[in-house]
Amino acid sequence: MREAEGQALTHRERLLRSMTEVAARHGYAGASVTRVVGAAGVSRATFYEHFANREECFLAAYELALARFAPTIAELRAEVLDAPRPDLLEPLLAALAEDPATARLLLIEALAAAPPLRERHESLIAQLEGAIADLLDASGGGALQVPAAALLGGLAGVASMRVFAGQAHTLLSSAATRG
Amino acid sequence: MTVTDIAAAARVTRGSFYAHFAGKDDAFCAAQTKALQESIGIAASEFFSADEWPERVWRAGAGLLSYGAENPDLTHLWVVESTAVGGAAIRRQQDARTAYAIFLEEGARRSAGTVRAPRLAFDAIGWAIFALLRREVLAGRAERLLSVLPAAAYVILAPFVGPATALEFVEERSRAVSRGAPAAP
Repeated sequence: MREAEGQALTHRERLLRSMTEVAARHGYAGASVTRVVGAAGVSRATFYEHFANREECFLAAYELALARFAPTIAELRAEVLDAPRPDLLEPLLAALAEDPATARLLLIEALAAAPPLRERHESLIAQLEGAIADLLDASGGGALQVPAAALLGGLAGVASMRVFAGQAHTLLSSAATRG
Repeated sequence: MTVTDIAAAARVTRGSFYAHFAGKDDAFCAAQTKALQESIGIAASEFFSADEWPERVWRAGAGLLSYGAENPDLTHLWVVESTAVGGAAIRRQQDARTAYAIFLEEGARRSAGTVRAPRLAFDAIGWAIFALLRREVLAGRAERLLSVLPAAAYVILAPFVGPATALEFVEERSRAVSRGAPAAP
């Protein structure tokens, strides 16, 4: 019984990892069940034991990616409110640079997904915007601030261009490498 | 959405569709290109109708946002669906940011000595505007896109003319609009 549970967990984890990598290589549109089971080395039957369809699998991969980054983001928030520093984004960028497939899932492919994931992702974006707006309020500032949505969009956009170009490893440097 | 759906909506046969496009993605990119060409034409013509850079930005922005509001389906295609199509459509989004950066370069030149903006800053501004548009479209407010103009103009102007001057310009310009001056052509 225990062994069967352990085995099931491994299959599920493998499928989620494969979904992340296949989506990074072929985009959300190209992340078919056939490709995912091929990359995971499991049968279609096993896939459907864990997920009703590819959307459900993608959503689970997204939730897993979020869970991985949640501590870094929480730490970032705490530090921001404590004492803002110019290098404050470094831990988050380093974590993204370390795992380009997950970075692409969060920064690009999540925007491509259909509802309900789209709504899930929009609520994450709204949450982050709220955090940025709090920070801007706390810092005093002028009457019209850069809208939090614009600030987050600028940051995430620049990062996503690097990731899309296969240059996630340059996220910590000021300029992308050529070629 | 299938090629059959597209052909049916356009009241042409599948044969006619394939006489023009290699497939669905090809047709999507062609629609993207058409919107980019039209919008950049409007933005450029508005931009050069004024002398000072901040006013040029305001007018180009008003022209672009009006175009987006009048063509909500094209706007949706650009800011929401492009990511879903992936590959070529995402590269086209990057082309658009490069094209629109022309209007920012003038700002960088005019504020020479005070700000040396790297290419990265242009990209960040482009993405920031994109995020503002996306938020409006997803909230079902594509027809009222013009309401984004003050925030968008501020995001463009502030790095080059400074936050205080940018704020003053945007507030003055917004007051002029509420007094009845046209924001858009």
